Amino acid sequence: MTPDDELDHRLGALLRSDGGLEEQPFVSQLTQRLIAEERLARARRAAWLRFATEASASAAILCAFVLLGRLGPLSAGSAFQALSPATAAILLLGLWFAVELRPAAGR
Amino acid sequence: MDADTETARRAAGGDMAAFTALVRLHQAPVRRFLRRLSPQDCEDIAQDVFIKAWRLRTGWREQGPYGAWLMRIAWTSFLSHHRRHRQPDTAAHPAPEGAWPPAEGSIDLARAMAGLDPKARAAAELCFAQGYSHGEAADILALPLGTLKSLVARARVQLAAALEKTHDA
Repeated sequence: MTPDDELDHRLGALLRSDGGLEEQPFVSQLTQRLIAEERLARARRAAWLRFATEASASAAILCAFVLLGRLGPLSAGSAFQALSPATAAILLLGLWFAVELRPAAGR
Repeated sequence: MDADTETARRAAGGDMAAFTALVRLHQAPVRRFLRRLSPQDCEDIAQDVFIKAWRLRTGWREQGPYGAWLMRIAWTSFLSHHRRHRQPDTAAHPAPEGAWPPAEGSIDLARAMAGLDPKARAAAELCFAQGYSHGEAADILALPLGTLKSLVARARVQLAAALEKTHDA
């Protein structure tokens, strides 16, 4: 063992004797924080799922709206028919889907 | 495969009971390391270290001991805390509530440790007090091996001087 090794051992022993810290309060506090963290993560996941569902439903409604608008009478040319009855029906159907049929986890 | 690796693997899979077992096992060295670096805020930083370890649990890839992985997180957490709350001499503050008073013989040494810059203090704590090899400590502190060795050598000289002063008194 070199003199440096001996000195390192002595320093290590003295540094280790520099007091201790209580385990239980630290672990209890950390456990509480971990549980809260998990709850928050679950809520965040649910919010993202709800957002994804509603965004998809909205996008589907929008697509249906645009496509149906283009299926107007020939005389109307290619003008956008936003207020046709079929468009309104699809819009209502889409809204119903978005509100009522979204996954239960997203609520 | 040792029990620590198996427990860490279960924790990485989302088993909170396994993670709590790891916390019990590793909290003392992590807190001691942080107390040496930032006595005033060591408890807060230590809590953040374990929360971060839980969030990054899948990031532990069994490349080394779980304790060393935690120490790496502890060091980066200390650095970001240090950047946010720059203090002229963090180690000169009293120990946090709940800490036992230091043993008499180690007081001068603790003072000498407080006089080192944070990198040298971290290197000394890891190599002298916690028994990490120079290579492991360099990996934890993200330093080249040569730099780590010179930090340890510098710390050794200063701590030895403090030790001699204690004996002379």
